[in-house]
Amino acid sequence: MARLLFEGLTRVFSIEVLPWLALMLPFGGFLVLSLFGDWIRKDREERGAGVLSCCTVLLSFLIAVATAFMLGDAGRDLEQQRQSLNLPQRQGPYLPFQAYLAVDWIDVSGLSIPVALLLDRLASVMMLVVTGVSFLIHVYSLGYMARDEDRVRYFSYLNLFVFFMLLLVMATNLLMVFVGWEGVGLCSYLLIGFWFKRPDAAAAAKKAFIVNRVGDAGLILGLIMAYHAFGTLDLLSITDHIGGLAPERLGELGIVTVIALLLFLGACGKSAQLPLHVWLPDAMEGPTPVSALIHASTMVTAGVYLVARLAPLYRQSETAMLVVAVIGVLTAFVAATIALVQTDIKKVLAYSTVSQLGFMFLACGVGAFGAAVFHLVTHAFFKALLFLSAGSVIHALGGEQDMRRMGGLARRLPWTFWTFVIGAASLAGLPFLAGFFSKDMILEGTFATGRTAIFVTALLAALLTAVYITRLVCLAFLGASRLDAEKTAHAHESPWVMTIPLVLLAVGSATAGFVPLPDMLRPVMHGAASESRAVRWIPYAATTLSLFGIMLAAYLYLLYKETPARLASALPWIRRALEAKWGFDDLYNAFVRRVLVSGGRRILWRAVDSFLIDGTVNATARAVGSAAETLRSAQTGLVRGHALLVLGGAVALVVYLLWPR
Amino acid sequence: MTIDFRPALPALIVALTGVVALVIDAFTPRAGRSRTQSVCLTGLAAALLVTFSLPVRIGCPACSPLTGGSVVSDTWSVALQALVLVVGMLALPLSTAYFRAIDQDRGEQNALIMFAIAGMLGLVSSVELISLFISLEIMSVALYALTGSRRARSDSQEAALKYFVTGAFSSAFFLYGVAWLYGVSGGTTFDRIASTLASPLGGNVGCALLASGFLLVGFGFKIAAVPFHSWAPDAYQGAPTSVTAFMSTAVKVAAFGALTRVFHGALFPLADRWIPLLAALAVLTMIVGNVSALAQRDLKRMLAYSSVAHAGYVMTALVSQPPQAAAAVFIYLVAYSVTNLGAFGVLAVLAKDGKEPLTLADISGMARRRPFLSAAMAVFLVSLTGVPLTAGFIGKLRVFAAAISADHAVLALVGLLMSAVSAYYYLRVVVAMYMEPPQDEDRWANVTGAAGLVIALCALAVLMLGVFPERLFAWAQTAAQTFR
Repeated sequence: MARLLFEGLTRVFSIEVLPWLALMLPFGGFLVLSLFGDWIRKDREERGAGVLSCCTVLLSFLIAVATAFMLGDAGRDLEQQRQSLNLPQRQGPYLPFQAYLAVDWIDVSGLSIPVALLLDRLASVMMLVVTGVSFLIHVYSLGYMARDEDRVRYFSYLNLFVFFMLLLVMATNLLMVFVGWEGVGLCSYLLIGFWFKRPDAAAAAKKAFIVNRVGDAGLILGLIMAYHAFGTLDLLSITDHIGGLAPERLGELGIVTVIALLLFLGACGKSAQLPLHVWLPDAMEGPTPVSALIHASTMVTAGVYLVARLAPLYRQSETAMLVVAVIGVLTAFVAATIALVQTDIKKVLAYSTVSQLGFMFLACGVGAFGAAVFHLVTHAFFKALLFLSAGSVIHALGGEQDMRRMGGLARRLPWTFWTFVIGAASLAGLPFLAGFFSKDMILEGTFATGRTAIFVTALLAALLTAVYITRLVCLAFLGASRLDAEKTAHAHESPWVMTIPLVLLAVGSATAGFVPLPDMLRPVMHGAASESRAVRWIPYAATTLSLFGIMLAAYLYLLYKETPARLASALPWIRRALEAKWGFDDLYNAFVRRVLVSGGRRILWRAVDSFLIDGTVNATARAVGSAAETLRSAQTGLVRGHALLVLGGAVALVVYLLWPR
Repeated sequence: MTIDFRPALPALIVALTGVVALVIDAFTPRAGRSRTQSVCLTGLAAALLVTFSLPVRIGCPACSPLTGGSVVSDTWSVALQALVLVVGMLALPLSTAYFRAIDQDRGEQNALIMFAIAGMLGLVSSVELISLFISLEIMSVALYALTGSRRARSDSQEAALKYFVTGAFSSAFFLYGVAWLYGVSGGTTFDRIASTLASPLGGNVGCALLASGFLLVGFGFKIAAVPFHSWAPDAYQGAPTSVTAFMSTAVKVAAFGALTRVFHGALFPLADRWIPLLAALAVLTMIVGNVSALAQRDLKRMLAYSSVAHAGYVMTALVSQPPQAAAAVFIYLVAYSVTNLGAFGVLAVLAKDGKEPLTLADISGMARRRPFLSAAMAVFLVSLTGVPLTAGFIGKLRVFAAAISADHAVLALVGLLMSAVSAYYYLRVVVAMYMEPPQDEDRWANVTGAAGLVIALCALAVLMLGVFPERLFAWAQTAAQTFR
């Protein structure tokens, strides 16, 4: 009996089953919460929902840790097997697991898509980040959402999100990636619009969804093209066999380039890259923990994950790499400039996220895929921290988000302040904090490609990063208090369920840089010469720039507070451009309103239907004269319109068919 | 000469059931509710059984002279007849629930649905132009009457008249095309036509092309392809909602079934001429349907334009080679039927005391009052959008894949872009249901019994087909064996 139990347990706790368990636990949480939500709601304290959802994610995290260790052993075992069988050595110890719960989802005439999980070092790292950060944010939400009416719904969505995100990072094939991709998009939509009674929140949710559809169209097309080109959607088959294709020369739009660019379009939508970045700042209408989890540390990095996962594909196409790098660096720069003038504390952080995602894509574009994932991980820590600290501020001030009505909060909220400062310093890239290592690695990679313009823009963006985050710290936490008297009395440090996650994330933000992640990931990315070494002076230059930026911001926003206003009035066009966020929103609004909506109304409805059809009909009627008048009283105009349309269509068809060739 | 009537049996059974239903209602007290629903369901089930038990001959598109070569039972006809019958069985309870809600349950609508189904069964199994045309008319006449069957309402009457007048107009085109084809080939069976067209035609090629153009007009009208779609919004809006549910699904299934057989069977030798035309119509249909749907405020009208758009998606599959095109068409038709029947069905079963939801405002906050119905509606709308794990995604995957394999990637591109556009108007409904405050009074019916079961079955089918499409693919492959 005991032996049977033991055997059963070892079978469950094997590397084939555990990932499934990690995946399905949050989904189970979602099911329980959404099906038995009414029952849980009867418990007035309503702790149950939050605690349940925290537990499922904590278990997933523990499993992720366990599988990460088992992965090393399994890799060794496989290597030994290979050696004993005299198989050729692979470049490194990475291995896929097609777990035995796999079923064929689609299997028809050559298109075979199994549902199975892929677990290698990259997936393992992503699992750790997703479940770890999610757990801390779940705990934080217990405090932050404590007084919200609809916590059950909130936690059920959050659990559903974790499920889809894990599905995305553990998917073996592009179609499963796509399912996870749409799933996290759905959760993002639901959670941005969580407070749907606010019109802004509902509008922001819709905007996020629609902008993402543009990207998704690219992703689907890329997926179809990939299947067309490679005959498979399996990620490992694609990355393993890509070397067999002939490398393409710059400027030629070969199939690999097209696929890479289409998939990158999808990544641009999800990861808010130029010109599809407009939804992310608006997405800040959601609850702050959601901004921290979905719109800063996990979902928005899915695009980076996809590009990094397909690193061997992207390496084949110089054109695609260049596009990725240029879009990335431009986004990094443009978003950083917009962040300079935002007054809403969450909007600054949102643009900062866009900018940092730009850095990650820059890293991909210059071939430093390991650095991109490294920055993804460190960014997950410090940006989640920054958002949660900002949430703590908002919580303390009863919903105030405008930095012009903050100031001097450092004394009132000491824990929040110090954790925020650590996160900010990590973002600015001060030495030996996590952000320093990853950003330095990106800059080195960029320098190594020898594209000076990109490198200089990246340096400028790094400088601006230090400036805007220091500005935020100065305006919100330092200087004189600009709070209302009522709010001043009310301002209090957050409860421990909120501060403990802050402290843990602060520890992560400070130390995550010491993990030699890029080296660990190199086998997955199929190695690379270009991720190579140390130009000595870059760390010093970057540090000097950061310090300069910090001092500049402190000078402008603490000591000489009139200077920014004077600068702004001296250079009005820059201010206008920045405050209009470089005009992207206006451009899209104009396009949608003028071209699509009114085009639909005016051209198709008013012009085609009313004017063209009815007009022609009426004109014919007048020409036919009095005989037609009697007919007109017997028929409605519309029927004749319909018949005329049929006739016109028939004539067009016949003319086409009989047209001599 | 012996005539084998067996291939026509399903249609005969269904037509006879319709007659029986009429007779039963004639002897029922007028005040009472119609009792014919179970009779009709039994008839459809019997027809389904017979359809599957008939001997199926595989691999002849326009086959040897059973029943004088007019009607056959092959894999394509069996598959589509089964689909039509299933759609009919799902639509009947919706229809009963709706007509009860508007207090007009007299049984005649059941009989009319039976006659329409009989026509559809003939339509998908005809391999000869005269029987094809007769089936088309049997179906259409029943549908005109159904459209106008909400007699108290003038818009229902108006819709029926418009549908009838323009329908007659397009039938004239169709019949003219039939005449020209007879003139060219000297016969009306598809295999005769195909063999004539495959041989050198000389001067007759123009006549054949003219004929195929006219046939395309006739079919384009039935499937509501742009520019022959203009009746659809009016008819779908004016018809009783349950009839719209039936009409927007079963008619498309039958018409596409016949269209595929005619163009990929009889007229395939001319394929390089009509394929660009179909492609152009598909693009036009997808664009006009989706963009017009954007501007609609009325729910039924919005779904009507969406049905137009979906006809465009199906047409993208028809540009590829026969077996693949037929398989993709069948898969899309299955996915679209269960989804659209469900979507219109939800609107139909909400009707109470002669009122039904018409605009977005009418269903705002519905999720609080009718959680299950709202969830089902959300599933249908998500499937119509084409999101993975729903039937709609599987359908779109296959039709776009078919278009791409035939080197018409542009069609797939337009389709994808238009799917993105469609997300906007489908999503608006979900938003209204889930994210807006409910109305003060609860005006809508409680859904119970058979109609609720139908909605649940449709939602379940949408999800099952989306998650486990294997079986559907296998069916489609079998169905398409006719086109080899």
